Amino acid sequence: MTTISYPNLDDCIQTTVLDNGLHIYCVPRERGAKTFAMLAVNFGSVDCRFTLDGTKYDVTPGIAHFLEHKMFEEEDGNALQKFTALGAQPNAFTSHTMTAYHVTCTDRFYDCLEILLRFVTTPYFTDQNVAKEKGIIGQEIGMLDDTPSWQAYVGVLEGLYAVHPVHISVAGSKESIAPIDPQMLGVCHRAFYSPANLALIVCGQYDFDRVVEMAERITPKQSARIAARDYGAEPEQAALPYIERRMAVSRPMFILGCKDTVPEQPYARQLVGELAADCVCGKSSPLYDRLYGEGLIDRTFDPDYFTFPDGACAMFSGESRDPQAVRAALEAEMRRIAGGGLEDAVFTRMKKAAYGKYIRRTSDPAEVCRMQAEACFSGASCFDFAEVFGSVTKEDIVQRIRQWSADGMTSLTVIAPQKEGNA
Amino acid sequence: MYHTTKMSLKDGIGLTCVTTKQSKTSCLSAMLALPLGAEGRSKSALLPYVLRSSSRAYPGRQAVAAQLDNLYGARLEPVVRKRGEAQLVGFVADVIDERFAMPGEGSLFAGTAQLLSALLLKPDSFDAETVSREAEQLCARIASLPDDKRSWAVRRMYQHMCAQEAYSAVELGDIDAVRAISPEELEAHYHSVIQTAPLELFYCGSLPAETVAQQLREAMQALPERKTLIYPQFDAPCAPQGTQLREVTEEEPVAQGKLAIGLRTGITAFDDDYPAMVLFNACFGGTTSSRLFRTVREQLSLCYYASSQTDKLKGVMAVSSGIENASEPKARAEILHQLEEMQDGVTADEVEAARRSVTASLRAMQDSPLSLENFYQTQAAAGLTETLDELIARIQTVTAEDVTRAARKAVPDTVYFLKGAGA
Repeated sequence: MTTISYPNLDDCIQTTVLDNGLHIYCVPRERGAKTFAMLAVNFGSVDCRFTLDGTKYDVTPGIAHFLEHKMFEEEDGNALQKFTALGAQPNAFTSHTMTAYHVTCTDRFYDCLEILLRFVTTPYFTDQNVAKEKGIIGQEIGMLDDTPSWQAYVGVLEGLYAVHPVHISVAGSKESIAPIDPQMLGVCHRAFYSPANLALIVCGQYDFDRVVEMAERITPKQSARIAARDYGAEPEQAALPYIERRMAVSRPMFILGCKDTVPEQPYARQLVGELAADCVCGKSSPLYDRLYGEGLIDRTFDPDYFTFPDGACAMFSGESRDPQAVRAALEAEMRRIAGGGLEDAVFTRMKKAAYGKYIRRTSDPAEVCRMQAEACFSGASCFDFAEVFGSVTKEDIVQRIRQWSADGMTSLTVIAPQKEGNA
Repeated sequence: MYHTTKMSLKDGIGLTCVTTKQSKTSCLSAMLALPLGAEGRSKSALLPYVLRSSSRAYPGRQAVAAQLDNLYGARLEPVVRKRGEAQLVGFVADVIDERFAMPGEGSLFAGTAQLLSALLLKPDSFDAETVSREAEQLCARIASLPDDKRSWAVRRMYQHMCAQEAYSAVELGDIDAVRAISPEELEAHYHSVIQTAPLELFYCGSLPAETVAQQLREAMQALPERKTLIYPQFDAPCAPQGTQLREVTEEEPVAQGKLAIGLRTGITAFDDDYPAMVLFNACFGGTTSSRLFRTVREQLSLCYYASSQTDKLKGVMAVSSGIENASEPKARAEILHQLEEMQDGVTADEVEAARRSVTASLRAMQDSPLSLENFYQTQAAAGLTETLDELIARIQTVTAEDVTRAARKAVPDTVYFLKGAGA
């Protein structure tokens, strides 16, 4: 066991790697009420083109998410019911970059851990249970189809990326999940669910040796070879400058995406990118104040940043009566900052706020596990943020914004109301 | 590991303190409780948004935002809530714990409390531009309530079911009324609210209750002496209206239909049977081992979600599910069928699973200052003094017979279907 301490953050991580390659990270919280455990798989919706044992695969959109649903099914029942019978709260999510299974409990932690380790590493797919899931996921996709913010998010990624599979919706479509069968699910499980491609993360109250002993006993003794992924050759500039969709919204919703370079250190880039987006139009920035005062943006406005394998982008989302005017203002502000216009006071204030935001996130065991899953798949630790914010310079920020403000880097998606004058 | 203290700072100002060393943040909130049916509802809803930009000490929106960022990205958000037939308006703040600030920063809690009091109690006169801008923003929020179809279907269902009750009112106000508010009217309304509405404060964090009370007493000194306080009423809930189910269908241009079934339970947090109702809700549609999840989703594959929730101050329950239009009769029949089955008797096993699940969720709230804030502010608004631990203790004594009895009190009243008319 290795323990890494972060005295300034009042936290530490205990970690080890099993012989089968499984990484284990545990963060003790002696005084908390709940314990949160997550088994994260380094397999997300972007991993749809891969080579396994010499065969090239191009799997159907939505299969990582479909697999997530199906893993809960076990030969002797459903893992969801087993967790809830213990009083635990299980759940899972699939993102562009990972699939994660997790459980929150306030007692019987080891019983929960056993269920978690077992069901994620034991595939059980039948024609019947796969067919049944298409009805459930079909309704989940139907719900997403009706969710304007999700459609805006899918739209902006389509606008930015021509080749990279990040432009495909995580859950796929009703059509794309139709051909999924047990054999295809089996290929994906074999390609990506080996212990070496997994991370077990626990935050709360536990005995480290017992966690390790259980993981050794329950997970497969050896890892298969992990599939080689291919994201294609993505052009530098945005694919489309503008996308518009009409939906049942009361007023236009928008996301302006700004394409960034492929990060060498994705963890640090994520933090620097978020901070740079805040410096452009965070809540206490001069631009935010002006746009809010003019009634062009409201409290829904949010600057954000997104890193994923082989890519990164900034996103500015919100609702506005005039998204084009917001775009013009954001782009002008980015050019102003790129030309040296970032005030020291703004940079210092935003940095302090970003540090506080990360302290707040590490307060919640569930967030700690999620942050650690994201960090560990790019070779970092979730508590490295203090060091990154400690060393980031104004020039680092300006460099990002300069990249976003270069020609052809932005794409705007607008979800417009169906009827004119509906606002 | 944590300690709850309830006290009165002076007449009409209550304070609940949860002292805990677990969290890395602290939370502070101030809520004024008003009757939901009162004439000034729209003005009350607008108040916190205008107050946030009208402070004498921090004039303008950006001054507040900059101060918050200097407090390490503290958040101080205007809040408007509906709790039973009360409208709560005020502010919720959270800030990182003192121990993570740099040396020589001064107290982050004191800074936050001081800012809160400056916004709530020491406004400058309201200027026309701020009032009209915030009114427009609020109107946009009210107009966008239908954008989220899942919650909109439940809201519409309650509006039909409780058409004759204050409960049907929109806590954010009505668009026409909000638009018509002048700065003078709003200022007069502010003075009347501040003179008559009970004020509840909540703190959760590492500081001892006496220290918090002392600082808040000072921060709230600007509150005028009050003679007459008006408390919201939580009357006995309305009886079911006959045996005929009310049926309402409305259309929206979306892909997926949303079914919402409203039930009268007549059991509120004031009743001895309340813990049994909590467990009935969990068994019926509150967890992934509930009847609705297992039948409507897992067996019949009709939906992604089918769940139930109660309003603990109103004695009503809503079942909601997102389905294909064509599945409506089948889903509705199954939901009502499951209710009838439970009224014939629930099993000891399902009650035990529900008890473990509910107990775990309530215990897990102890790790989340914002969840505790919501719980204790709702308790305080209704004059309920039960702590989280006391509620957990009551839940331990509920029997399967108690749950069956609670199930029998749940009478279906309104079936609302938001029909998808194609996106």
